[in-house]
Amino acid sequence: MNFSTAKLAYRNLKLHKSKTLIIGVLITLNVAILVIGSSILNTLNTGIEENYVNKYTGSIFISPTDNAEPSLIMPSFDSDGANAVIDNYSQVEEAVIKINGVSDTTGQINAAGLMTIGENGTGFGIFRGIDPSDYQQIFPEGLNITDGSFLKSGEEGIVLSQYVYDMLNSTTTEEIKVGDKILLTSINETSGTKVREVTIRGIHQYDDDSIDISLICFIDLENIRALNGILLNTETSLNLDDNEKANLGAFDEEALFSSESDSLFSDDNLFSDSSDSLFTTDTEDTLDISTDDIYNILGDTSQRDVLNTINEDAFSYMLIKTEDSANTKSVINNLNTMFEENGWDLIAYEWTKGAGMSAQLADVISIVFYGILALIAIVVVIVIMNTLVVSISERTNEIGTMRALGAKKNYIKNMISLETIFITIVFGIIGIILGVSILGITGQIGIQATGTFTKILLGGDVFIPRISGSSILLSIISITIVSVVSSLYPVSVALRISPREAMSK
Amino acid sequence: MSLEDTSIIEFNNVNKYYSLGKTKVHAVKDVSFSLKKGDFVSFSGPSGSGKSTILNMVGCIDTSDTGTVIIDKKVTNGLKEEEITKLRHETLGFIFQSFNLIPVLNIYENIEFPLLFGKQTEEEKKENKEWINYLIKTVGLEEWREHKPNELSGGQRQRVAVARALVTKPSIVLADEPTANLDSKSSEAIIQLMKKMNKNLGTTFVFSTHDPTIVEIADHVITLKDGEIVSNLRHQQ
Ligand SMILES: Nc1ncnc2c1ncn2[C@@H]1O[C@H](COP(=O)(O)OP(=O)(O)OP(=O)(O)O)[C@@H](O)[C@H]1O
Ligand SMILES: [Mg+2]
Repeated sequence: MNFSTAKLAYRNLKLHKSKTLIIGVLITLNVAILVIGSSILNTLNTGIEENYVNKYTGSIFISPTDNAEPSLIMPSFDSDGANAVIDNYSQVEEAVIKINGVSDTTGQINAAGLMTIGENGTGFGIFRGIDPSDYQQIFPEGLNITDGSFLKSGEEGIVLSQYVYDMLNSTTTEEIKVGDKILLTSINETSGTKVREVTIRGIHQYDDDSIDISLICFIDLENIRALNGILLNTETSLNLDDNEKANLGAFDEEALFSSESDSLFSDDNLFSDSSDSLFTTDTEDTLDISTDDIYNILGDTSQRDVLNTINEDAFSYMLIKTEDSANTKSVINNLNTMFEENGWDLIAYEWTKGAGMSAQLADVISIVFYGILALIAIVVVIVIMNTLVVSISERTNEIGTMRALGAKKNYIKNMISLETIFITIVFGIIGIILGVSILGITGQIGIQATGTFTKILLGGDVFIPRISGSSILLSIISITIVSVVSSLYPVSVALRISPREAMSK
Repeated sequence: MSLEDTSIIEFNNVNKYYSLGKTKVHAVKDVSFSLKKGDFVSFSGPSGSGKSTILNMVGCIDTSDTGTVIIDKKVTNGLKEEEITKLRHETLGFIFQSFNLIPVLNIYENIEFPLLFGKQTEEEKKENKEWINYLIKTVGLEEWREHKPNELSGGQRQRVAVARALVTKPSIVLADEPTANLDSKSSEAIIQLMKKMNKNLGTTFVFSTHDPTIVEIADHVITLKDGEIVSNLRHQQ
């Protein structure tokens, strides 16, 4: 017939049923919301991650350090960043592929520009310059060709997105067909206006595209480098006159890259000691020799054209697929250490850094959700605190009696804390069960996405939230904090009750 | 002196003030007395004369502002919170005017309650169980041991309180107007019960009361007025 503090706490809760219920319901709802909300967010985030990593970005990307705002979706409009390139790409790639955990790489160059076709057909798009076979290998799920075909290696051309195709089509009288020529104009602060004519090779469509992604058109590397002004000697290209610009548009590949011209690339012949600096974008030595010097050395214009030649070993970014997404962070660290050791001005980022607005929207939603939840938690803490204080002041005489009968302060503290712990555990578990069951039911049915916006968010037409262990853990932790915090003040009130209170009445 | 040796409670020039807003109430004025072990002591006097204040100082619920209070040969002035709690638990038992039973505990558990605050060996636990059973029998509530306090009458509740006050075998039991909330018949019964316990166990009982029955059977009656002792009478038995 013995009894413990726990038993006493339990019976007190039973006696004060209505207060226990008020606190209990609050905790249950709070926990359920937390479990449901964070599970949805987790599902959302993994959905977005899988989508992006597998279709657009890879897990990691490498960008030149001087690219202030790296983006894998949008072109960088930053005047410095626009032409910031990894200019020794093949050397970097060789080193990157040796890093543990890296499974595949591909290069990418972004641009944006206007398009003109036929009679007054106009539109705009984001140009994504890629190596077709590399790209298809790393993003096998990322392409859905609806007309024509994807780019082939070595072939010039553009694959329009369905969205851009529709935009162009709506402005022209004649229907645009695969095989048509289209004029691309890029405007770039550093390299000026560039115009290229390319062939439409196909139409593609992302099945769950958001606005930024729906503008992406694939284009061959040579054309994008020309549009972006990625040349072997970028300083020279700054001073091109209109005539030369036109020249650039029409230069002859075959002639430039014949065996004879290879010798022009040889360091010893042409550039002697200062040659290395020519291939980096930011050293002052380059500026010193600059146009006139080089003109003098080279003499005739055919050689100058070679200097203006596209840098075939330059990409804006290197996209990396990892063997295991769990290792992403350590791979990034290893990459950055390697860059530092080699003295390369490169930096490796996680995909989110360059994933654009949809991916960041998920972050914003997370922040808003947890912010709201923190506010709810504060309200819950206040309500629980208030209810406990009321309940304790009603028990002043009882607690005073216990103290008069020899109860130490610790005993009172344990009793009140145990009451809170009981409520928290019992109603916390009910809340978890409630949250999990609601998730289970919606998991069976799925949430139907209606608007485009929700489709982007939910990563498809039907959203099936997954119950995540981490969200349950999170709710257990937060409810523990809530219960501890909300019982601190009531316990201190209880401890202030003196045995004298037993005498009153 | 033999009287000094058997003294269990001693007040020496005790003063107690309360401040009510700006005014200061001199509740107990230079009070000195000595109570003998095993006595049945009554403090009487009109309302506001300082009975409760004195009992609270005996019970270490309040402390004197000046003068010394000695309980069981221990000066209580300046004791630490923990020492006071220990003294209350080991030496003192309390009976309250409004019974103050713990509502969620049954009768047996209510009586057992003060024992939880001390350490008990297995041996002692067994002894205590028998002791509680004896107390329940003595106060005449054997059939009610599993019941909750709210199922009992006032008189029955106060009997539980008497048993609870005695469960730790204290040398002093304090009772501030224990019969104030009882009808005369129940009052009579409770007083008889306490007198019986006082005789059987030798426990010192200290009351504050308006009840003439208690005053009648008390060994030692101290009468107060305006915080001062106006008479201090001990019957020689
Ligand atoms: N906590 C307190 N604060 C202020 N004044 C108090 C307090 N307790 C008692 N007093 C005052 O001290 C004096 C003595 O009060 P006390 O309660 O000891 O009287 P009492 O003899 O027990 O009276 P009663 O028969 O009404 O119970 C009174 O004037 C009372 O107003
Ligand atoms: Mg009183």
